[in-house]
Amino acid sequence: MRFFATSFLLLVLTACGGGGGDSSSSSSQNANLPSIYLSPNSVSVNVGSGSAENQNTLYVSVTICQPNTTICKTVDNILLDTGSTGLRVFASAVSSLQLNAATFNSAPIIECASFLSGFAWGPVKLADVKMSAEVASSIPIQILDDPGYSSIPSVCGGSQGTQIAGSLKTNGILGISLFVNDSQNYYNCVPTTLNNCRISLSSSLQVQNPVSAFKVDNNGVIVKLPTVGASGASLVTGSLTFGIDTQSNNSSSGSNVIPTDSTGNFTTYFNNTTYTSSFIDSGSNGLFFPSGNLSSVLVPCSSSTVVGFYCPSVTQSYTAALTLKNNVKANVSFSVANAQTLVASGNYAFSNIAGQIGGNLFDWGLPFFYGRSVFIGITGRSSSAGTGPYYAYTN
Amino acid sequence: MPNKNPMPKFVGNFFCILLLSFPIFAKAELGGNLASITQEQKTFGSTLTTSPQSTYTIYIQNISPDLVIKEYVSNSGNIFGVAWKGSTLPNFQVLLGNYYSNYLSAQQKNPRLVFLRDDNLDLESGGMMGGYIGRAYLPKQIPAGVSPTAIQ
Repeated sequence: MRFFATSFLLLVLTACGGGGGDSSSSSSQNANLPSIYLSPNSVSVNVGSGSAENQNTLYVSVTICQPNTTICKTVDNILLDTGSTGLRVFASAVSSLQLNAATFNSAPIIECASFLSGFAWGPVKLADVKMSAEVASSIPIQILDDPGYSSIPSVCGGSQGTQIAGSLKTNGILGISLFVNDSQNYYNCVPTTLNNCRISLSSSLQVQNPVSAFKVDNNGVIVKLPTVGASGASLVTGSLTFGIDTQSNNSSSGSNVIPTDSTGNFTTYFNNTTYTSSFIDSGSNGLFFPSGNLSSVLVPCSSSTVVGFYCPSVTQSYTAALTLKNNVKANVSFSVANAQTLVASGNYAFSNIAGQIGGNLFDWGLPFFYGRSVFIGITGRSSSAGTGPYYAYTN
Repeated sequence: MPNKNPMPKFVGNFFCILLLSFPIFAKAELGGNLASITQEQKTFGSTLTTSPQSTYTIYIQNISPDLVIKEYVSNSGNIFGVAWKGSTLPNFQVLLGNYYSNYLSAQQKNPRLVFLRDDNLDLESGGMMGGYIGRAYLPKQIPAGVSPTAIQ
């Protein structure tokens, strides 16, 4: 139990210890959670122990190929993250492939991407990215922990141990957000100062959302996960479906549509407070919101192993309102249980785990996805639900 | 080559001390002063605008490609708060100055929800890639009559 509890505080985008590696070499029970082909535009996804052995981590498999060849590697245990953009994979997971560097003025492009949990430093390479029957051809992806780029510049965290590669225990991150490209910082040398050889890249040259580069079904995705009971589950299986209103299996009809601003935010009303910076993020392993005047009930967990999470003595039930199209409000019910007790159960999927965050942020993390189909509508792409960016959901 | 003379060793140490005295990035920012903002602007290569209030001034930097940093400077010239919003996170080593270690510590404890609140420092960082948002301020140094909610 101690191990699970300890790993818990390191949330999904950072997980604990380790790093990439070939998923096939993992030996721990339940560590491999490969996606299964469900239909030409759909694969299975899982929440379980996986490689990270971290609660509420959503896993998917991605096939990465040398462009226009059949030389491929299917990498399991990749974090499915609707809160970031683009595919990032550990060098060790694709060591059997020879991927060409993306270049700018004949020099290899290197990226420094920001995650809350740290920086992602590494070269940008070109690959075909495949899931189900969908293909994104020769798109820029980022390679993590690349031995050729082991010296990390100060501008990207330097040697202070702030790299996500040092703590991420999945084989990579698949960012399928509301956005086409990641809008992060790029260089065509290893920078010695903040702006040294920093380059401005057009959208198509940046690390980008593979879904937006599919030939078809490229206007968004649907993540569907089953309901999880109050005490959690050890393993749940759901689906990742590509496209919205493009096939018979991805209709948005009847869904609640949440238009967002250009940065992916909408407004949540909760406990007489307005949270204007609300978002839906499968890469967050809890619901995160300020406790406000509920702080006497939503007390911080006392254990250092669940820092930042709420540990109410009795499970609390709440209702929040989300802002839909035409300013219509939709109620969403959720509950907050004692995080320390939940984690001690040894389960991995929890719908009722929440924690502290500041400002006017309301982070609807993975618990929001259980028992729902969540639609992610890509910026500038249209469906019957509207033109992205938007979220939508059906219960 | 045999080391016949202690001098080279001394020179080596002296050089290290010099390096420590002149870090790559100017120390500044939260808890710093106006001069540090000017230095920081050069470091970031940003454009700077100001927004005077009654008891303080907001210095706003726009940093390519899409990051806005606001620094709240009291009339006595002290930076008592910073706020940021953008597609990337700011360089916290530069922005938080002496409080950077507090940030690293909070990040290490719980990376996905960087949140720190004590008598000396309030720090909140959140959002998604493409839409990061956060702030940090020094509760003991906020000018009288100014609400922390002004820092955002």
